[in-house]
Amino acid sequence: MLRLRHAWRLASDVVRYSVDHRAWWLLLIAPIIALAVVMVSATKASIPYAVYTLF
Amino acid sequence: MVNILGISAFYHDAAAALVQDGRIVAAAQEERFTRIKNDASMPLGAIEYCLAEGGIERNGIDVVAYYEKPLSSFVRVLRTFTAIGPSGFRTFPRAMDEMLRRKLWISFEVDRALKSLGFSRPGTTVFAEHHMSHAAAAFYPSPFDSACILTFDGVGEWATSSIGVGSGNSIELLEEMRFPDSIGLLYSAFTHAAGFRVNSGEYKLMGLAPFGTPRYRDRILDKVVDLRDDGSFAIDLRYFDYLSGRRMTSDRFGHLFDGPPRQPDSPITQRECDLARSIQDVVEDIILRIANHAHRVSGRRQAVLGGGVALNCVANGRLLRDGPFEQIWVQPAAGDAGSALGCALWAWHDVLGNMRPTADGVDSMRGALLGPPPSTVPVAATLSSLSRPHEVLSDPTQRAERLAGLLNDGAVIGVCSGRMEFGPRALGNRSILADARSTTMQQRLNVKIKNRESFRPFAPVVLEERCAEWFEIDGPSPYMSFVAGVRNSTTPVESDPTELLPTDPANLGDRLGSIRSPIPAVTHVDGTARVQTVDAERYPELFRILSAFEGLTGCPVLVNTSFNVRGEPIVATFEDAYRCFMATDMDWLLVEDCLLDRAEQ
Repeated sequence: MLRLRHAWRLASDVVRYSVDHRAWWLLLIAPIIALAVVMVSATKASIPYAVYTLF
Repeated sequence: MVNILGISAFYHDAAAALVQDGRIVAAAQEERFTRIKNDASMPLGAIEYCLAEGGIERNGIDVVAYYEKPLSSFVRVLRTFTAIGPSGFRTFPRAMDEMLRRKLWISFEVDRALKSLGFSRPGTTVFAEHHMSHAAAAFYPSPFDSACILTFDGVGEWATSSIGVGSGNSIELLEEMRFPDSIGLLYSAFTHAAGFRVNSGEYKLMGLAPFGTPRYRDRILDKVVDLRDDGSFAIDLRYFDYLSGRRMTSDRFGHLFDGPPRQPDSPITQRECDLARSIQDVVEDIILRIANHAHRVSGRRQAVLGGGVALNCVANGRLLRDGPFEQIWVQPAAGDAGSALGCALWAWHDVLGNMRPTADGVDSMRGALLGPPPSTVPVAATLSSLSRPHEVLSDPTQRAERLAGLLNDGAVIGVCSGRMEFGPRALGNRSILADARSTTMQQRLNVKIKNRESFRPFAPVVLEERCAEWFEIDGPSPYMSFVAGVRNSTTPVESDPTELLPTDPANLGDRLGSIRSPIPAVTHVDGTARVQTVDAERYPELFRILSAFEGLTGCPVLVNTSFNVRGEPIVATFEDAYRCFMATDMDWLLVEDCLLDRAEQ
């Protein structure tokens, strides 16, 4: 529950940062980052390699 | 009362600090509690101590301040990996794992840490910019009402150096240099090339520099660093590999500087000495140019320094001698540990808008003695219960005279008394003291007690009022922030630098032994020393010992080195001190008012 509340805060921080710094690309990859967070937590190993290919 | 907890963590040297109504109450590095050098983990031990020292109740934390903005750092890491392309393939997963698992979740980690210690969530969690934390740590506790602020380190979010102005309770950062052009990373790359550990071996490189000649200086300035008049510079990244995070230098660097990085256990050659001297010279030039530019931009006569590079006391000494500022104050915990204090002060003054009291020429660091005492129970009772032979010396004057007598007889004494120092320097409360006049003391301390490299110099402590008679420095230096010449010392005649080959052995011990000085144990090979001046107000115990030693010998100078051995953090508790005492060739141990003779243990 505590992590969920902070996840909401993190998401709003990402949006605010993107707007403040005109880093719209961050908004585009935010869903990927969110997915990566879930998958890193779940697998702890190979997913980051796959994510890197997106860059 | 408003309680602000400052935290720095998850890079290196994690720390916590507590500020109550703007007053610095406590600060400590986590390594002292976990006994892991440069421990970067969430500083639970340091937080617990700070909150206990401040008498904070369960709901008493009003604000938690964190020393950088994790999201900005995350964006920098993403953009860096995007820029370097495939060469970051191997290190990207590790970087992302660290970021996604911990660094982006700071407020969660803080809440979880406080909960585990039995505290409620803070009212607010705020994030300072990394260089603002350094600037705040440098300016707010300084003895100046207004000053130019200079910060230099490896990298924060994007900034690697900054120029600012502090006035009253406000700090304005005017200019910054940005990643990847970084004085700190440049120095760390040469630290790596000389075979020392990055983020902890930089002071070894600084100590090695006087043994070398600036053979590579021109090569650095011609090929590696494009230095401009205002001190800003651009690094040729083909010589480095720190963007990918795999290693600091590239193969091209090795070709330019006569070989690959030295293996840590292999002997030090003249090449490493010359590399050290060359990069030290270049860094000093950069800092001087930045200082001259900052002086023009800010129009201030005083300067304060922060950031890890501000621990380079040789460069600080040169800035004091040759730079444009009349006075300079350096935050004693200038590295990332000090940022925990900086962000807490920033929250108090900048976020909450509270005024700063008039400085009156005195800093508010309280001698940097912001850590815990050696024991929470009387040491004498503990020693008696453990049947450890000891002598109780309750009278401070008699205690000082006894210690002075022992030091005059050549004894090496470990001191673990009073509150622990905050920052990398032992300033008398967690120190090993010895006679600076001894010609054999430097080798004895390095090899038999500290178990470290033979070339490493030791610092002197001197009575403040007698400092100018022994050292070429004007004004106090209570935090060992400046290197200055030792009066009446003569340095050995150096060989013609062109005769020395990079592969020649450096013979560091022999060269250090050839120094001629009235205090050879604290005189480095170039006739300098990292001076700590001692006054009765900040360091009363050490002041009494020095005064008694001067009364006995006419010399107001002693060796002061940190109470630890190679690879370990400085001792914190009585137990740490006793363990270290018994594991080395130290002769005596003073814990509070109890004196222990090694021969009787």
